[in-house]
Amino acid sequence: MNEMRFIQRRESEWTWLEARLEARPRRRFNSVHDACRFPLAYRRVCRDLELARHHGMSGVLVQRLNSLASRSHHVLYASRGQTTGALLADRISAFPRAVRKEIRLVAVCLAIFWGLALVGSLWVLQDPSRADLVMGEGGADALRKMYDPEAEHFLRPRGVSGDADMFGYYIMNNIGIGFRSFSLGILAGVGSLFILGFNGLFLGAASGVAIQSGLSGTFFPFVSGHGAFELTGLILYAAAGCRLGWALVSPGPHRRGRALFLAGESAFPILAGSTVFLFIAACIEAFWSSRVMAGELKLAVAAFLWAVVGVWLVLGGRRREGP
Amino acid sequence: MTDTTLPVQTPDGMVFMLHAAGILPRLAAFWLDSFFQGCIWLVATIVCAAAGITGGWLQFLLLFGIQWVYAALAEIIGRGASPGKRILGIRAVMIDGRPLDAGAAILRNLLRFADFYGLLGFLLPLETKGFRRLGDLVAGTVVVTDPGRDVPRAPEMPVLPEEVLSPDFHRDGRGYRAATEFSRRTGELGPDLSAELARDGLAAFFRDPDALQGGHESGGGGGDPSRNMARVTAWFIRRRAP
Repeated sequence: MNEMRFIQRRESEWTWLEARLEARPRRRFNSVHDACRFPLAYRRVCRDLELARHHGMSGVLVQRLNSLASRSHHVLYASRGQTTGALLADRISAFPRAVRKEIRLVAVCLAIFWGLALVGSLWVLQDPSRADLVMGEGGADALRKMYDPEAEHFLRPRGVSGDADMFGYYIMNNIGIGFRSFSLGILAGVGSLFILGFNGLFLGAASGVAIQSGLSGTFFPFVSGHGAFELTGLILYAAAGCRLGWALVSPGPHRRGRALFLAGESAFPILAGSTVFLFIAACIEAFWSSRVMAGELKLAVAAFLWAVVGVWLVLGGRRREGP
Repeated sequence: MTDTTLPVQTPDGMVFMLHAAGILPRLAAFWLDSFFQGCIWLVATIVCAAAGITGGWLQFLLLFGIQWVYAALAEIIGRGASPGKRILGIRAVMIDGRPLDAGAAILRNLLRFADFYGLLGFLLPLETKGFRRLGDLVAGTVVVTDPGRDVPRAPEMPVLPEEVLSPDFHRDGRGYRAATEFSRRTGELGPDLSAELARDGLAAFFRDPDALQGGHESGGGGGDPSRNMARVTAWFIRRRAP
């Protein structure tokens, strides 16, 4: 194989292919003929690369052909989009399916969260001065002010005024906590479980303070509405994080790198779904929970929302379930 | 020496090489992106203030966007290359050579947060093939030098002497390649290094390279090892090109 003759013979196709690769994606193919020629040109470049390697042709040539082949492969095997509707339906139904697939981790996270919430509330009810240990200095007082119907900041966190502000604050704070909890799950699950457990304890302590100060009439109607999405979302973030951490602890039949990748695949729908959940929760919390109205109505709506979340996670996406 | 090449097997039964990007260009890209994040925050705040949009919610959403959304969105839009990566000529791709997909972009950027704990993000890449950090392992991605960047246009053949020197033994492909690569680069190397490499090369082609130099002292070629090497190259090229 003579290198010079080889280059002379094939140069025109390489140049053509290079021009196609450098064109903007929308201008890449000017005709059907061009588009049909591309895969053929790619295969021929693959063959050229093998030939050049086999015959020990110059490094620059091999490098150039390698670049051509890898870039063409990039174009040829880019995932082409399904219709947006089908894609969306698939993504949405993937969420409850992924949750059911990881039911054991979800159950552990549920138990830890609600268990610590119960422990926290009983512990604070026994001695109200303990609340500040969990909620920080002055935390209990701030809570009493927020849920006191007489107070200026009724149903608004400190330093935040207006529904839109609250919405922004809940997005940043809650989804930020969720992302951190997921991300730290990779440290063998410890990070997720710590954040989850702390939030459970905090919720417990807060409800303890509310009960003990006689504010349960405003506290629980406020919390329970968005809680259906918010608390479920936080628990599922932690479960998704633990999925990563568990892959590191017990990779099963795979090497740890591969196990992590598989864990990422099964955790992703949970992560995405939880983010949507927390987004919904922020909307409800900012624009519905903060309305001043009869506690019974709020509790009824909350019960409905909890039922919707529960039923959907248990039954959702079954029709699309594969074998 | 660390081997940075990652072979990718295509469905067509062919293998091409990706070159993993080193830690330093990736750090530089990270710093650049952090700088851009700061710029975006500043510009957005000023523009919104000028347009009369103010309020806590704006700051909350901006901070959230910059902290969590920017990195993933930049990689999705830039098909694997955030602005910082684009400037450094690197790009994130799937480990099987396909373009980065959106889910992988989100995963690998969310896990950046865990990378900052216990220096994991800096230690793990030193241990994994292709310098992959936690996010890369989970998302199945790797950061590579952009294959479309700095591609040589056409190989230049060196000017070779008329007289040829036939080697005593040669491995067909490898010998040809070693000789041509050497002659191609001898100009960049400088005379001393070039002579040193040529002596090593000649030792692989001839039973007795010293005698070769001595024998040609009186003849035309002289004892210059670089020149002898060029003549060997000429032999390979002429023999192959009828």
